[in-house]
Amino acid sequence: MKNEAEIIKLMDLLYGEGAADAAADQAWLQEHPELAQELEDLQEVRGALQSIPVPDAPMMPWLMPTAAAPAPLIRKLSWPYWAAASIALVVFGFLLAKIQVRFDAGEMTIAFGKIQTPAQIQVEQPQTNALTAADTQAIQELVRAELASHYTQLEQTIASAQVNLRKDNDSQRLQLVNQLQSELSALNKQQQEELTSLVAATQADNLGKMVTAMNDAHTQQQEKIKWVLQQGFIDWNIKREKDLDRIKDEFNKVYAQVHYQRQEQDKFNRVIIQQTNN
Amino acid sequence: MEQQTEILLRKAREGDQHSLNLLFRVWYRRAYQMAMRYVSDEHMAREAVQHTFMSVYQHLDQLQQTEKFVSWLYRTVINCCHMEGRKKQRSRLTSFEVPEARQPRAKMPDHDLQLAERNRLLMQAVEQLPEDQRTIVILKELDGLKFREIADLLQISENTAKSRLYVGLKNLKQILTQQRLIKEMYYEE
Repeated sequence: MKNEAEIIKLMDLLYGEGAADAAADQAWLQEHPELAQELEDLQEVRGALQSIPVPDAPMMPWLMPTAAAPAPLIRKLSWPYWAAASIALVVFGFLLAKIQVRFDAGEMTIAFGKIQTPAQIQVEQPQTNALTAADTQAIQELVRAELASHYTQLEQTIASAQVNLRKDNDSQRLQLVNQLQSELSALNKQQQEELTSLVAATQADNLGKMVTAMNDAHTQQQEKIKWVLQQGFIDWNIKREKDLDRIKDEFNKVYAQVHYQRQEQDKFNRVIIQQTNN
Repeated sequence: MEQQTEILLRKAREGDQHSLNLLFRVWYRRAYQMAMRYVSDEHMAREAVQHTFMSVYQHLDQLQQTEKFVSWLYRTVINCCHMEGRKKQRSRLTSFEVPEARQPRAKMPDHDLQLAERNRLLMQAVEQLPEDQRTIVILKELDGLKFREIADLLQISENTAKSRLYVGLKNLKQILTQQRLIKEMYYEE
């Protein structure tokens, strides 16, 4: 019975894969004649196996599907090339479709075929006056509605603040809020009267006055609110931060709307003045 | 060969189909010969190789070390051969088809006929070996792999590979002696 070391040694000798030392191997085989015989037997088996011919491989019957690989140039192009190509394609398409693009007085016109210049609209003085009167009326009504809406919201906020301050027995701030309420009420009344006096006006001049009046009205409201906030509410130790936040929100809304209206009015004024001058 | 395989493999993993095809062309012959020794049937060997390359194609990105490609390929061939063998066994059990009539053999000289018969018996003897011994005998004797490569491929130690081969050769000698193939071979030579 051979042990594992002997088997491994035999296999190394059979295949010549171990450390080669011919003299030592020969001596080992002479010392172990039964292993030498075994080696001969194994060599005999190897000889038989080696006589088996290598089977001929037939032609490779198939290939892996080859996807149509993109051309290297296209694959390597980065996005700027694609963007440029797309723009060129669009321009080419425009030319092909006879679409014309024109920049005129800061405006861009795109048209299919020849660009037609719009006919000049001639407006007569009576027509201008009628338009101006109608617009003035509309603006006045808008301003009146805006002011009324703001005032209602402010009144609600103030009423809420008053309830809370009464609950907390904060007489000092309650007094301030009451004062704000009466002042805003008076201001609202005054603004509404001013607006009413402007309703009859039809001249372009009065538009400017009206806008100024409306801006002043908002500014005055803001000033009042600001004053009250400075007096009693811009104090981070106050108990009613929610009230303060709501008043601040209202203030911001009024400010944003005034700013927007001011822009709209300016734009409208320019148009009206231009039309009147024409 | 190794360097060529590595380059082709790297390119194939990058998605180059041409390199993949070339890689398969390079290794097709070896894979087929190995499969043929395993299953001794041309049709089964072709099927096994086709499945092998399909599997290689599908799992190419899972091969971590490119230098292990060869042992991975051989292992896949062996697995596919086992699969084909099982398939054949099942079909033998379930098929009710009348076996085809044997094709008349082409005329061969007597000496060639004797050699062909001897080779068939030798392969039959190898087939009689238990699975683990047969695998090692084929890898070592017929495919000429080194013990290190066999150990790597079958994920066993080199010494285990040597021991298994020793037992395999001993058993083979016994079969060949019974069939009086060894002496005949030597007398021929």
